[in-house]
Amino acid sequence: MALDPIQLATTMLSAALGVLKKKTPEIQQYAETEFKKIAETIATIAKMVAAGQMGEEEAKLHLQIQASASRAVLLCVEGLGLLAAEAAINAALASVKDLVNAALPFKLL
Amino acid sequence: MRMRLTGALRAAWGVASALALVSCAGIRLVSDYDVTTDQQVTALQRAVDDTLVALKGATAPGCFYVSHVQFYQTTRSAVQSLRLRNEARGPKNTQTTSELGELSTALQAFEQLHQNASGGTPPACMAADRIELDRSGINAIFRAILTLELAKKRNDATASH
Repeated sequence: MALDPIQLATTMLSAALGVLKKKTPEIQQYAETEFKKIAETIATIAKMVAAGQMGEEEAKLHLQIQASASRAVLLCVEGLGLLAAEAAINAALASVKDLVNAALPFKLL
Repeated sequence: MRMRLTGALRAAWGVASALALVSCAGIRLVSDYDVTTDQQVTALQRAVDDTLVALKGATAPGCFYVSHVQFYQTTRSAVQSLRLRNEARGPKNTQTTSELGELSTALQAFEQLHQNASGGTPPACMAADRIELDRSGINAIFRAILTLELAKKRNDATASH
């Protein structure tokens, strides 16, 4: 039985998009929540410096902690993005597994 | 008719060849979940947070850095051990390894702040509102590490086939 590449591509895309549509908002929500907290903390540090309540050396160390937090959040987003891509690709492959295996003389997937 | 059939077969074999690059187990872009990392990071977060909360309410001389040297040494050792473990888990784990690096950096900065406050003239406890700022940042790092580690559990049934 001949494989229809257009049908395969449509099926795979639908499966992949279904996964991405579910996972992307979760990642966005996480990033927004975390960066809002970090931004508020940085603003507080800036206010303290402006009010003369905190010196430069101390402020730099507090900001270093917030910078590390920002980088950690971005690393998490990167990892979550890779997991989402992985799930999307695997969902796409799973969606055509039976179709592909039935069309070939051996089990490909 | 023969040319259209040949073209369609060629396209089908093209797709099949691409699919042949993938094993039946599916692809893995990120390393697997590690229960030891999950448990140790969770325990470390609790220990660090307990200390920061205690510091907020502490008075002199108990609040001074010299009374907490052991805490910093133990924490440094725990983070280093976690970094080593996660480095050993391979290149698909770079995000977690780097997150642990950020945790190390943040804790070092906090330790420096603590030393500076205790070494001031006169020596002083770290102010509760300053500790809270740093606690927020440090917990954000712990959340990032655990959020990613828990996501590696891949509860989604479509993760592999």
